[in-house]
Amino acid sequence: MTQTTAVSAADAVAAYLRLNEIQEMLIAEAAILDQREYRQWLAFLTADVRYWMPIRSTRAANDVQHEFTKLGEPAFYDETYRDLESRVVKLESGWSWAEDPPSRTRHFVTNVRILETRSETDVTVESNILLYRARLDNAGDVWSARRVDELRRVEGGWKIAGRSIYLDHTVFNTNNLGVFF
Amino acid sequence: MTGAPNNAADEAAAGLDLRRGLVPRSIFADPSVYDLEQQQIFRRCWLFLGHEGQIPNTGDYLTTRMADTNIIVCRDVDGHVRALVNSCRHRGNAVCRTDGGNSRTFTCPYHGWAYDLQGKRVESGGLINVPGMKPYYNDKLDLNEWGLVPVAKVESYRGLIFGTFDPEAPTLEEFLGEMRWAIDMILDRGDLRPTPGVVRWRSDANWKFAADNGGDNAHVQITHRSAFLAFSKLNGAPVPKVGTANPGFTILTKYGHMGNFQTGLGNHKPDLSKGFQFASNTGMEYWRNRPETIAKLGPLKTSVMRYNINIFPNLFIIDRLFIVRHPVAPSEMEQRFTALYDASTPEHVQAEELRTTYRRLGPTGFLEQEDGENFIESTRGTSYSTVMDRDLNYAMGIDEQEIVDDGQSPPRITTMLNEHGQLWFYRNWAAAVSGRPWPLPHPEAKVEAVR
Repeated sequence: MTQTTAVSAADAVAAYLRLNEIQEMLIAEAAILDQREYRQWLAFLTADVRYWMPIRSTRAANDVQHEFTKLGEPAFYDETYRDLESRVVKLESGWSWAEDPPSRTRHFVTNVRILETRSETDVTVESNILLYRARLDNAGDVWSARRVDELRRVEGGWKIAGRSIYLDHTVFNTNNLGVFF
Repeated sequence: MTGAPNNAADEAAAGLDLRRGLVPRSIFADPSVYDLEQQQIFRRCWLFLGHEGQIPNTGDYLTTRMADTNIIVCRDVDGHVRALVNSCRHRGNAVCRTDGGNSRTFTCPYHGWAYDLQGKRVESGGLINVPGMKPYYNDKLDLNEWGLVPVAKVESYRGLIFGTFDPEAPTLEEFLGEMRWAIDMILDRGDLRPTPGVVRWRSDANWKFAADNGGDNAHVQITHRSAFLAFSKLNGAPVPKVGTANPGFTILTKYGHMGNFQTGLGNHKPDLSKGFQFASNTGMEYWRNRPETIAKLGPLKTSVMRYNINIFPNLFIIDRLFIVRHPVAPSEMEQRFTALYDASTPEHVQAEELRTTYRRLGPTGFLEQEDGENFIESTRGTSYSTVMDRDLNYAMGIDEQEIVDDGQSPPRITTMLNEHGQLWFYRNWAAAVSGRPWPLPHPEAKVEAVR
């Protein structure tokens, strides 16, 4: 016996509009980052945000569950709002040599889909991100990653309450990263 | 000065004039110098391979580098740590292509030569099976002769695993020598165990610029000023002024090890709710309040709140991080770092200490972003042919030093604002690249010899 799930036209439209809103927010966020408007970027985050990028290692096919470090273990980033704000203050200080002269970045956000809808205002969204970073006279560095965002709709807009960045790399092929995913 | 007679000759041969604090640019850019280092330093000195706690059980392994070579470090059935070159004896392929895991055998994907690195045959390189032994080799291939090449010597000091390709090298304990004082200080402060995850990143930089930075306390106020300004704005922390002499001392020991130790009392419990903190002082309120720890450390080690140590050639220790700078090419290095945590502190303190450490260091680190930028620029600038004859200046505090030898530590220079650590590193670098047999010619009189 098969069970058919009845999705009303109204629900389908609401889901579509939600996805559309979220995509627009993610694209606007990417533009803000590429314009280096870091103060404005902080406004995309909730006060309880957790911004996390675990460390990856190469594992055998039967051992891939150990590829990433877990929450609470070492990570490239495991940041609160206050930590991210510290990084923005550093970037604004005029003495942050790793980003002055500033990097030129391009955030390419694709493959956006909603993984879980807990309520109309609380969803988990997956996206692919390609971050291109050219610096001084370097040809450029590229990072590729899967992002999983916990999004919350507050005050009429979507905000990022959690961001997990799962890099496709095990070795950073560049000396530093002072910008955001 | 009571230095061994060959020091001056070795330095002159390498183009160094350390009595005047001069180091030539060519040693950073010249490919022939790089090749010499690979032979005379990285195939002879003890190199850091990892922590025993990373491979606690039989069959556990990790892969890392020694010189230009990929190495498998594993634990055998008898509980011994083994290190072997990750290159099949048949065609040279890697027999292990992961960063770590647990496996009894490693099989070359090319023709299936199989190595058991946990079993009894590991002494001879572990080769246990060659497919087609009868039809291809008529049973005449001697498995004992075609095992993986073992690293000549593998030893541990309090859980820290090192290996050397030189069978003539002194014991690890002799090599670490008096700098065990500092390693003991770190390990005696708690129940230190390794964390999962190894941060790895590549930089277009010569490894020596990263190593000599271990003795550099004058860059902090400039290189890391943006970090201090951020702390100041958010937490009201003071921004250190150029030339401010933090209390502390410098120790130089045999074979080129160097360390700077900043002293200060108090518990320094940071208020992390105010955001990022400069020092990884989390946990200090635990070990400094444990009477048995204080008793074990003694007053001088207890007073040390921060340190930078370089174990020659390329192991840098800061807080509880062990960072290895692997040379990959004259102008490229790969850094790998592994952190220890103190299992005797509450879990939230362990987590906070890790977060504080990784926020500061590594490619995304609040501080190390700028260090990486510096190492690259130093490397780029020292490649310029037009100014190759203009030496670099390492003369800070060269004629001014006061040495205390009171038995509380190896003899120590009573300030941190000097470049004796860097001079010591290059003096021993010159001795090592000279190719003289062990013991490498080293000045007996320690710090006096840098004059």
